[in-house]
Amino acid sequence: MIEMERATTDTIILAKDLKKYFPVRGGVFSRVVDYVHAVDGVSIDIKKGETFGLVGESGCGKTTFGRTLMRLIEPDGGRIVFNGEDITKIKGKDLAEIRREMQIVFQDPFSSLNPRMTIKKIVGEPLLLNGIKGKDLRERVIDLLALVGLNEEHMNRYPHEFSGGQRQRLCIARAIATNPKFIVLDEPTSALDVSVQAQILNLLIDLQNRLGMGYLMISHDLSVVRHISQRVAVMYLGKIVEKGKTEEIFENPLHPYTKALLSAVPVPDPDRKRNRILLTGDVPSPVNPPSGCRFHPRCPYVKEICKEKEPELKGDERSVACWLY
Amino acid sequence: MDLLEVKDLKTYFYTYEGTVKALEGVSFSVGNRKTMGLVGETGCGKSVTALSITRLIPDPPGKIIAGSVLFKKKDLLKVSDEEIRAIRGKDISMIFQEPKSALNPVYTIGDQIAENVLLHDEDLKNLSKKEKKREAWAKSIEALRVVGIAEPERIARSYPHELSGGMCQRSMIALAMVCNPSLLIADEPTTALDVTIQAQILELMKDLIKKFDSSVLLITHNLGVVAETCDDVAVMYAGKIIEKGNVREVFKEPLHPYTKGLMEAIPSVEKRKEALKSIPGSVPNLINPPSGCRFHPRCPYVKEICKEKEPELFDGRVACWLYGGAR
Repeated sequence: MIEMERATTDTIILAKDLKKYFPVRGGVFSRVVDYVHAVDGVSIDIKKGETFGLVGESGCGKTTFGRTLMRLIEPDGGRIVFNGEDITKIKGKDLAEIRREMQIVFQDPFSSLNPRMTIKKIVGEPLLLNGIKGKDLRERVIDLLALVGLNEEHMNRYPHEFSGGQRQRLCIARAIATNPKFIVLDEPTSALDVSVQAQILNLLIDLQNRLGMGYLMISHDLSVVRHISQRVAVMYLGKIVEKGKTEEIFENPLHPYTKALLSAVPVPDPDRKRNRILLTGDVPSPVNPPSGCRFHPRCPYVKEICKEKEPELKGDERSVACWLY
Repeated sequence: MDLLEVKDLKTYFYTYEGTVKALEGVSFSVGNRKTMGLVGETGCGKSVTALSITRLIPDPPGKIIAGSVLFKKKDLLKVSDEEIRAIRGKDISMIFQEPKSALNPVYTIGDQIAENVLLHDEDLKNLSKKEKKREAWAKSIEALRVVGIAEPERIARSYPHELSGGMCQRSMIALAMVCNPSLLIADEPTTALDVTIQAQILELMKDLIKKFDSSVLLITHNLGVVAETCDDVAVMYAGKIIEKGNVREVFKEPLHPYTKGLMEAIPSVEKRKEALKSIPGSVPNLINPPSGCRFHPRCPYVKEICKEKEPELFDGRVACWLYGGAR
């Protein structure tokens, strides 16, 4: 309940113990035989105008979490509070109302733009749904394109005429069209080259400074997350293992998984010799996650208790879920 | 004499829209027991270089129109199809980016490795058919063990879809290394993998290169991977090599404005950079590349000469008018 009160002041969105299980069907009658524990009790809060980074390897549930947070996927448990209002169960008109205020930018700008729509239609669609028409619509679209570094002459073109970076700019223009308070950025730069990635990251930071949106930055690229976010959570197999201020996490990682993840990133400096923590094995299946701490089969510091009991995420600002602490 | 010397290689693709000049005079060499990194952004011609070396460019639409590829003093562009087939997989082998799609889904891992052994291994020549098969299977299991797979017998009998991405890439490496090649071409070997798995695979590749005395041509867009694994590096832009040299030299003091731009554009895990410098614009279209230096429309130091004349690779190090010619 304390969180609820805090939520009304400077928090834009808050997730409490959010869960999403996907059924695995099998057998002759396609009965539900098991569940994929994609998101298994994740709690975060994102402040107004803040960028919150969510990192993890493929299959850890980052994207599912982002989509569940926006109610694009129905949660199976937990609560979502947006701007002081519980939106876990809202429906119909109320939900549509809320959707205006939160938007998403997807990973692949090549598949997230309708190839048969002109840029004017793509960027203008969210505005049209909000009752903006005719000349106003046209002007607003021009403004939006200018904001993301494109111009009026692009309006009547189709997506295939643009490069990857330009398309991602279009996706961003579409996302900010309705003046949202919160945007989920789901790996917005991983399909792009580094020189273009830098352009997009700079654009995102610039837009945030001007428009004051909160971002949830989902990425597997630790350096990108470090660059753009103020706070970071590290996810492993559907759970957050460590959370805190970006500087603290990157300077002094506590959880063995975070340490290994950071040490695994290749650094563009040939003289740099680092103590690399090599993890053995692969990420286990989220259908049957390991008992106790989910990281224990790959953890170099594993103890008896890790195999039996699951550690809780302890601490307030800086929290870590590990029996070592 | 270096193991591999690529000279003035030109590969064009003839399409409806026009001729794509994918490689426009690429020259570099890979020394004995050296790892050479080839870096650049999407579409700069890295993979086309790799495919041209082994003559795997689909023809049509592609064609190698000029240049030479000297491998152990033999020009691979001139040898017969049979000869090149004998070289591929034995003396030069390749690892690809997507391990899952590079492996054949309807054969087991063991069968695929054994096939390579049966095709190329000289030791098996005098054996009977049955013995050959048994020997090849034993060799593939050994190869899987060498790449650090825990239960090689079981994995050898598995199909690619049963394995994770990291395991598939290990199997690919086993397949590539089983005939003890003198040159390994690795085309983005870790791009499809997670960082923790990437670290495992890079570590493994370094070990194997040492063990088998192989040379490597590593193609990647990740500058971090190059810094950690390569001895030399060549930076490509729009079908040309614009800078090359020893890894330490190039990373400590990048000369070409493009290389500098790339280095400044990557965010760092180790410290937060104030603002990322980006390179304006995007990679040019190779049907109609810009005149003069191909980087000039994006270059912050552009001069008159850059638009008119193409710079050569001055001192074999950098192709930029800032460093040579009419200074």
